[in-house]
Amino acid sequence: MSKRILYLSDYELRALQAKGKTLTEVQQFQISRNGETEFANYLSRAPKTPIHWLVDTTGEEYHATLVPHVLGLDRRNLVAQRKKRLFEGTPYTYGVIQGRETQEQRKNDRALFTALTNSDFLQPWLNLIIAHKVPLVGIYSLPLKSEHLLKYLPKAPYTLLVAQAPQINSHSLAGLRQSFFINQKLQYSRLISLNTLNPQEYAEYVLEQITLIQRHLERERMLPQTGLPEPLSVVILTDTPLLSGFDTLPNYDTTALNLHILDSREVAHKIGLNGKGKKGKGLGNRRIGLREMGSRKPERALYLYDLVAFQLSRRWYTANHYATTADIRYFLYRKVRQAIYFTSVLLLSGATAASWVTLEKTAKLQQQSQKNASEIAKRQAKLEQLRKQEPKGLPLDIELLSSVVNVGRRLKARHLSPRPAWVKLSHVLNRHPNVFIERLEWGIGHVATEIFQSDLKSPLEKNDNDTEDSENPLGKIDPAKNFIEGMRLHGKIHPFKGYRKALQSFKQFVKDLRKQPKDFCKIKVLLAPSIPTKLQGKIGTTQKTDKAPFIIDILIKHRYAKKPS
Amino acid sequence: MPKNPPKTKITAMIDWSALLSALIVLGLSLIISIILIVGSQRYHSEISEQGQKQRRKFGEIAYEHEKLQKTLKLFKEKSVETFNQLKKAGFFQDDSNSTIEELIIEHRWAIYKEIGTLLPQLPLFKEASDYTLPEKKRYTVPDFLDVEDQLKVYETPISFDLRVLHEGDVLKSIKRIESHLKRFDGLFNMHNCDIKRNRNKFSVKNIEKPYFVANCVWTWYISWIEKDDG
Repeated sequence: MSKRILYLSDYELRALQAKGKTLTEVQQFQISRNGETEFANYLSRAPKTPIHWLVDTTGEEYHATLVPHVLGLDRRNLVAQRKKRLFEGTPYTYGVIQGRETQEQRKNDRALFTALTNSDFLQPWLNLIIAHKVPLVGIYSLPLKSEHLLKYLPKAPYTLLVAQAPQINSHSLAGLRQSFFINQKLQYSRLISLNTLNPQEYAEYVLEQITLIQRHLERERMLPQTGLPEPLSVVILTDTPLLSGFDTLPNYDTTALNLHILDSREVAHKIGLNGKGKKGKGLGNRRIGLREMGSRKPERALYLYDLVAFQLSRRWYTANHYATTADIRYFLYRKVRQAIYFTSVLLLSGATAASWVTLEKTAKLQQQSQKNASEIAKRQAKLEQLRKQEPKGLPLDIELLSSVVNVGRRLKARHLSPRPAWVKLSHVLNRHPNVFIERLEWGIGHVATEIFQSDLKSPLEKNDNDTEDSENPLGKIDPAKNFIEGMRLHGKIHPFKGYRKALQSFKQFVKDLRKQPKDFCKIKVLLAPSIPTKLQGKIGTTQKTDKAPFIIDILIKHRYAKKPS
Repeated sequence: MPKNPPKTKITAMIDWSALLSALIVLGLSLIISIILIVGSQRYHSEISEQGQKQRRKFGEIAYEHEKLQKTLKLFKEKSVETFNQLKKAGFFQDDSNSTIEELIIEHRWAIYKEIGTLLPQLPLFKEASDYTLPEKKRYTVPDFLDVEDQLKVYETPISFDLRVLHEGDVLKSIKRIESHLKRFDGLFNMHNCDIKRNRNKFSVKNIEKPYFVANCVWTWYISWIEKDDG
C-alpha cells in the first residue's frame, strides 16, 4: 500500500510516494501561480489518496519550557493557553509534554511549543487540497518527526543532529537543518542556507555552524552550565559526495565534540529504505530507492526529509502537529466513510449469514416436509386399505364402546363364588377335627383392608421377607392384571390338650393347607397357638389357660380374564 | 473559557457530498439486508407453516388410522360381541327416555322387593335376618383402563345379614340370592362374606337360635353415557 507525502519548504513543494521500501519523488512544484496550477492538476489525478504533509521551514519557532505537572483536561487546557500566549496570530501551533523534570524540586513537566509563524506559505497549497477534497491526514514538523530517526543514530543525552536540506531559497544552493535534542526530544531547531557544495568548504561551514549553535545553546541555557558529563553528541548526516570533506579538518578542534559523521544513505539503509549503500564515507550506489519519475537524470542528493518521510510512511498512526480540524475534515470524512462502508459490509455479511442460517434451516424443514409428504401418502394408502375392512353400523362410538367393554370385562372377571375355595378348605378341615373355626372372612380385592373386615396385619401389607412363606410367594400384585381372593380363618385348637399338642395339631393343619397345589398361593399365620408370654395367677381362682387361638390368612391370586381371541 | 460554537454551525460545515456515496451504500446495504433477512424469514415461516399443516394432516390421518385399527381390533377381540352381552346383561344403559337416576331408583326398588320376596324362601332365621340397599355411588375406574370421561359407572352395595342354623345354609342362600340378582339389569359381584359362629356346640335339642351369622355383600354395577349438554 502506497502513501502520499508532501514536503513543503520555503522554496518549493515536493510530492513523494512511499511504496514498500521505496520512496519516489513524483513531482516538484515551484512556489508560483504555475506551481499551484500544476499542483491542482496533480491533486485532481488522485483526489482520494490521503496526504501526509511534512513542513520544513525557517518560519518555525520552538519554545522549550517547564510547565506545572497537571494531567487530563487541565494539561490540555494548559497547553492550549501556552500556545495561545506564545504564538498569537497563527493557527498552526503545537505543544507537547516531553517528560518530567527530575533535577528540579517541583518536578515540573518539560514541554515544547512550536508554531509556524508564517502560515501564508501553507495557505495556497492547503486551499487547493481542500478545494479538491483531498483527505489531509496531518501537517507535520520535520524537526519534530526527526525524533523518530534518533533510534538509528548514536545515542546520547544531548544530541545535535545536522543534516542537509534542499534549496531553501533562490539565493542558496541547499539548506542545513540543525536540531538539538535532550533525551531524544527536540528542544530547538534551525534551518540555514548552504551556499557551497564543495566537500571541503561544506565541512568547514558545517563545523562553524555547529560551534555557533553550541554557543547559542549554552547562552540559552539549554546545555548545562556546569559542563556536560560527556561531550555534546553531534551527528552529521551527509550525502555521500560531501563526506570526503570531513576527512581532514585542520582548522577545527573536534575533540570537544563527540562527532559522528554518517552517510545518509547508510542511515537510509538502516531504516529500511531500499538501497545498496556502503558503510563508511564511501559514496556507494546512489540509487537508494530514490528516483525522479520519468527522469533519466542522475539521482539527487539524499536529504533529511527523505528519511523522515520514509519513516512517516511506515507508521500506522502519526500524531498531527499543525493541521486544524477544518484542514483535515476530508480525512475525517474519509474515516467516517470507511466506518460506514465497514458497517455496510458488516450489515450485509451479518444479513447474509443470518439468512444463510435461516435458509439452511428451511432446507432441512423442506427435506422433512418432503419426507412427511411421502409418509402422509403411505399412511393415507394404509388408511384407504383399512377403510375397505371397516365394519359398518357400530352400536356406539368406538372409544365409548371400548370403554364399556374394558370396565365390563374387568368387573365380570371379578365375579367369583366363594364356594370352590370353601369346599377346598372344608376338605382340609375334615382331616383336622380338632381345628375349630370360629370365624371365616372371605372377600376379593387388591389390598387386605379391601378384602377383610377385621383389622389385622396382613401379608399384603408386609414386606415379603418371611422365610416361612417363601415357598409360596404371592409376589407383587399388579392391579391391572391380578386381584386377590382372600380367606381369613379365626379359630382355635379344640379340645385343648396342652400347648405342645395344640401346636403340633396347628402346624399339621397349616402344612396341609400349603399342600393345596397352586390354589392357595399364600398361607400366612397371623396368630399361632402359644403360651402367653406372661403367666399370672391368683390363689383361689381357676387359671384359664386352655385356649390355643390362631388366625391364618389364605390368599389366592386370580388373573383378570384374558380377552377372548 | 472559550464558548463552544453553536451546533448548527458545525452541521452547516459538514460537506454531505463527501459522505453521500457512503450513505447510499449504507442505505442500499440496509435495504438488501432487510430484504435478505425478511425474505429468508418469510420463506422459512412459509415452509414451517407448510410443515405444521402436514403435521396436522398427519395427526388427523394417524388418529383416523388408529381409530380404525382400534375398531378392527375390537372386532377381532369380539369386543362388539362382549359389548352386546354387557348391554344385554343391563350393565350398559342407554335408555334415552330416562335419566340414570330414574333407572337406578327403579331397579333398586325392584331388587329390594325381589330380595324381600326371596329371603323368606331361604333356610334362614327369618326374624333375625335382614338386608340393606344404600344409595348408589360412583365407581372409581382405575386410570390404566383408559376409559372415556363420558362413561359413568355406578356401584351400589347390597348387604345381607343372614342367620343360619348350619354353614351349608350360607352357601345355599348365596346361590339362591345370586340366581335371583341375575334377573336384574347390571353386574352383581359378591364382594365379601364374613361368617361367625354364634355358639360352640351344636345340639339337635337346641335349634331355636341361629348357630351362624353371615354378613355378605354384593355390589351392583351399572354404567351410563353422560351426554354433553352443549
